[in-house]
Amino acid sequence: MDKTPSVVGARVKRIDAEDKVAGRTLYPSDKTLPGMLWVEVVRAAHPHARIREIDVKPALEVPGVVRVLTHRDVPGENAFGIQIQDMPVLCFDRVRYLGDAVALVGAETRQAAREGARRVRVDYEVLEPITDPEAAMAPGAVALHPKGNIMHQGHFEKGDLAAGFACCAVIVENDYSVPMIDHAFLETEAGISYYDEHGRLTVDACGQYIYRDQTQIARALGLPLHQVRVMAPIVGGAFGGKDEVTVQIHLALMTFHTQRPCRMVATREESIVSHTKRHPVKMSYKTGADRQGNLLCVQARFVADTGAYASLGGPVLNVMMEHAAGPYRVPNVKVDGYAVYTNNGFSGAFRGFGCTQACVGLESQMDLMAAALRLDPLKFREQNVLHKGDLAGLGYPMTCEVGAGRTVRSAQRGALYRSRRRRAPAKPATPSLKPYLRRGVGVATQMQGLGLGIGIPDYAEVGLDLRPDGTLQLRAGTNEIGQGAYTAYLQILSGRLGVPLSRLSMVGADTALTPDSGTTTASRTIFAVGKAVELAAEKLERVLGERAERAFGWAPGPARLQGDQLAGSGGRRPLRELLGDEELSVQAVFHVPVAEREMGDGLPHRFYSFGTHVAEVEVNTLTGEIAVTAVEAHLDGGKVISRTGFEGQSEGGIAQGIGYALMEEVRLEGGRFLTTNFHTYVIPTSLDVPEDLRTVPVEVREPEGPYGAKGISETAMVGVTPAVLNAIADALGVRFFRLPVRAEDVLAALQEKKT
Amino acid sequence: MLNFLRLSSLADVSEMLWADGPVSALIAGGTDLLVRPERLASARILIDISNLTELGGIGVTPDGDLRIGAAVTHQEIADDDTVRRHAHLLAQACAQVGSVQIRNRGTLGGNLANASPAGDSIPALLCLEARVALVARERGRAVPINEFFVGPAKTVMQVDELIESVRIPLRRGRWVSFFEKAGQRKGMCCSKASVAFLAQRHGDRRLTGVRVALGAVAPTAIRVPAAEAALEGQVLTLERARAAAEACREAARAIDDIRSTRDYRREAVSALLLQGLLPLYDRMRALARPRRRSRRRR
Repeated sequence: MDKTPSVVGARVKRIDAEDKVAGRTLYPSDKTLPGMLWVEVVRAAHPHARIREIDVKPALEVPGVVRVLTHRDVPGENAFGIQIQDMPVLCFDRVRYLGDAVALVGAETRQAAREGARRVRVDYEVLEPITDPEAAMAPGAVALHPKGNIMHQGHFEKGDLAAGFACCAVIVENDYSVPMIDHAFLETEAGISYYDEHGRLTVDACGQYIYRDQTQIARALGLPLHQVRVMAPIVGGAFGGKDEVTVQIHLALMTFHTQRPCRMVATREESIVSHTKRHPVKMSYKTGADRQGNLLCVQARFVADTGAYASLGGPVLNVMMEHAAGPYRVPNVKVDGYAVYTNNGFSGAFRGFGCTQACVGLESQMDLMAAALRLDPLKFREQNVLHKGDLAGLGYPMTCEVGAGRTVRSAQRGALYRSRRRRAPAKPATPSLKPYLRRGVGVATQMQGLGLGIGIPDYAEVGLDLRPDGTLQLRAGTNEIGQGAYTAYLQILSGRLGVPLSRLSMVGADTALTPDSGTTTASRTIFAVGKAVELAAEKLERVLGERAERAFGWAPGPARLQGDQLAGSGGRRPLRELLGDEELSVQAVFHVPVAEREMGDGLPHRFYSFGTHVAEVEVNTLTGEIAVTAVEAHLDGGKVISRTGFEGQSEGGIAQGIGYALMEEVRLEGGRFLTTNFHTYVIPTSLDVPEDLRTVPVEVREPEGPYGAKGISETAMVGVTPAVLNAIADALGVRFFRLPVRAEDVLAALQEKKT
Repeated sequence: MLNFLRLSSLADVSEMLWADGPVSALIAGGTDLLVRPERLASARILIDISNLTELGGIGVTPDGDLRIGAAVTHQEIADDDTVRRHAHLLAQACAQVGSVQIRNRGTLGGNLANASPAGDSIPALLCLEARVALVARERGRAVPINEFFVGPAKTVMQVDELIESVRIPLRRGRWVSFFEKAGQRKGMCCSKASVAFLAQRHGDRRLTGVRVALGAVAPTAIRVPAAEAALEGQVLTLERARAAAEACREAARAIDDIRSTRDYRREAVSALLLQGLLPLYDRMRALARPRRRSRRRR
C-alpha cells in the first residue's frame, strides 16, 4: 500500500515559482482598488500613558482626509487577541506600548492620511514605563492589566529533584539571557478591504489563519461571521509575526464606516514597533548527571517578557516549559515559568514558539555537563535521548515515532563532526597567514512539538474538485507564506491519485472558497493539511467507485483516474460519461490526534519533530568577529514530501538561527525602540550564511502523517543557535550566556580570560 | 512638491546650484539620499548628476594625477586597471563598500559628500593624499582631502559647489596597501571601524612613505602619525606592527552608538591594522627566503 510514487520526496519546481520570479504574483501590499482610501494609524506617543482626550478635528481639516476613527467608532467588542482579548482595536483610556493604535485616518491619498495622522491631537498623562519583568512581577508593581502583571505562569514537577541532585557527579548551574528579536519578514503588514459582490465585508490582507481573523474582525465589528470574508492566499513572509491580527480589523473598520475600499501598507518602522516579537527571556538552568553520564535532573526557571498584551504569550511559555528538558530522558524535572506584562513592545508567536529559547539554555548545559564528565558531546546526547514510550520531561509518554537518537547518530557520521578535533581553519593557505583564527565545532539536539497540542482544536479540512476533463483543484485554507506548502499538498495529491502535477491546481486561503484548514503555524501544515489531502484523495476515489457502480454497474470498490478516463473493475470509461458537465467535489477533514492527558493550554503535544545540528565557526581573536563557516542539519521530519521545500526550510532556518546567535536584537530603552529599521536591526545577509550547508533527511516515518511526514519548519531553525554557541565555546574555551554574541562580547571575554 | 531635474552639462548644474543651492539636493547613485527621507523632504529640487560626462571617467591627467570622476561608481573603481595600478588601496576599499548593489550605484563623489565618519573610501584617500576638485559657477578649487571634512556629515563645500573629481598624485616605486574593516556583518554593513594602510616597499625590506588612516573612530576619518612613525623607514617586525597597532588604539576617539562601543572600536582599529600587517610581514619574510634556499641547494 505504501508505495511511494516518485513525485513524493522529489525536487519539483514550486507551482508559484514562475509567477514570483517574474513579479506577476500579487502580494497583499501590491493590491489596489479603484476609489480606495489610504488608511494610516495614529500610534501611541508614549510606551505607557493615560489618554485624557483625543481631538480628531485638526485631522479632518486636512484636504483629502475623509474619516477619522477612534474607539467610539468600534461597533463591536473593542478588544482582540488570539487567546485573551486584552488588546484594544483602538485605545480608549490607556496606551501600553508604542505600537498601540489610538486612531485611524482614512484619506484619498497616502500623504493626506499621513498628514491627518500627524494632526490627530492626543492628550496624554505620561506614566512611568514598566520595563523590567522581574520588577513588574513584584508585589505592589503598577498593574498593566486588571489581573496583574503575571499574564501566565506554570509549574511542573516530576520525580524528586533533591534526591536526584544528591546522586549527581556533576551539577551545572547557569543563567542565560536571550533578546527580543524581530521576524524580519520581507513584506510589512499590508492589505485591502472592500465589500464584495455579495455584500460581504472583505479583507484581503496578510495573515496566518483566515478563519480566526474572520472571527476577530466580526467580533470587533459586531457582525455575524458570514458577513465577513477574509483572504490571504499569498503572504510575503511571517514566521509567526502575522499570526496575531495586524491590519485586518483596522481595514474592515474603515471600509465599514466609509463604505469604500481601503488600503494599508505599514512602513518598516511602523511594522517593527507594532507587531509581536520573540519573547526576551531570562532563564536559570540547573542540571545534573551521574558519573556514567545519565542525565538525572533538569531544573529550569523562565521569566518571559511578554510585553503589553497577551497574544500567544501563554502558549509560548507553555511550549518553553514543555521543551525545558528537551529530547532527553530525565527522571527529575522541575520547571517554573512566568510570562509577564511590561511596556516593552509585545511578544508572541515566532518560529520555535518558546522551544527556541529553552533550547539555547539546555543545549549549552548539555555541552557543559559533557565536558565536565569528559564525554563526547554527541555520545552524551545519544545516551540520554528519548525513545518511543519513554516519559518526556514533563512526565507524559512519547507515543509518536521518535527520531532523536537517529539524528544524533546521523550527525556523528557526518564529515563536520568527525573533523571537530582540527583546530586550524580549513583552507590550507590560511593557517600560516591567520594564526589568530580559531576554529570550533558545536552541536545541538532538539525536539519540537508539532501542531497546536491538546485543548486547542487542531483540525484541517480541505476541498477537492474534479472536473470532467480529469483535472483537479485543491482548496485549502492555509496560506502560501513562502514555505512552499501548496506545492507539497499537490505532491501528496499527485502521489495518492497518480495524477501528474500538471493536471492539479490550488486555491488557497479564502473563507468564501476554501474550508477551514487551520493555522499556517506550528510546523503543522504538511502534517495536518497534507493528511487531509490524502483523506480527500481516498474519498474521491471511493465516491467515484460508488458512482461508477451505480452508473456503469461496476463491482464495488474505488475507481482511479487515468487522464480524462476512469479506471475500475469494469475497465475504463471517459470521466465525462459519469460526470457530464458537472464538477465532483469532496471534502475531507483530519483531526490531529492528541495526547491522552492535558497538562495545560496546548500541553503536551502528541507529535514531535527532531533534529541535530552541527555548526562550524571561525573566530577572529584579533577583531572578535565570528564567521559561521559550515552547518550540517540532520532533521527528522518523517518522510520528506518536497525535497526542495525541506532544504529551503532548513537553509532559511540556518540563516535565522545564525542571526539569533550572532547579531539580532531589538533594543529598547524605556519602552522605546532603538533599532527602528534594518539599518540598525541587523539580520544576516547571504555573505553571513556559509556556502557549506548540508541538510540530511533522517526519515523516521510517523504513521499518522501523510506518507509518514511531519513538519520541519521550526526544527530547522531552533537547534542552529545553540550549535553555533557551542561551536564558539569549542573554539575559544570561553562560553557565552547572553545572546547575541557580538564581536564586542568576544573581545571583552578574551581580555577577561587573559587577565 | 519635489522637482526632479536632469541637466545636460556641468555648467547648467553649477548655474542651478548658484541660484537654488539651499533648496537643492544632488543625486548620483542615491544610495545615501534615498534611504534618508528626511533629507529628501527638506529639498525642493533634486538634480540628477549621474549622466554628466564631465563627472565620469578614470584617467591620468597631463600634470600627473590620477583623476577619478565624482560620478564613477565604487564597482567601476574596484575593477579599473588604472586605479589598481596607481591607487590600489582605493580599489581595495571600494571593493568592500556595502554590497554589490550599493557598489554598482554608489559613487565616489557621493561617499565624500555624504561625509560619514565611516565612509569606506575616505581612509584610503587620506593615505593616498588625494585632492577633491570642487567646481562652482565660474570658479573651482582643489581641497586636500585632509582639509575637506569638518565633522560628521560636514565638509568645506559651499552650497553652490559640487565635487567634480578626485585627484590622486601618481607614485613611483613598489607600494603595498590594504583596507580592513569590521562591521556588524559581512555584507551590507556600515563600518564599525576601518583601517587603510599604504607604504612603499624597498628591496631591503624597509617600508617608507608609510600612511595609516582610520575610519569610524572619530568625527572624521583620521591619519595616525604615531603609527606611521613606528613603521617609517624600518623593516617590518611583529614588535613594530604591534607598536603601530597600539598607536592606532591611542589615536581613536571613538564613541558608543547603536552599532558598537567606544572600547570595541579602539580595540578593532588596532586589531585591523595588525590583521593587515601580518600577511605583509609573512610576505616580506618569504621574499627574503628564496635566497637562503638557493644557497642551501648549492
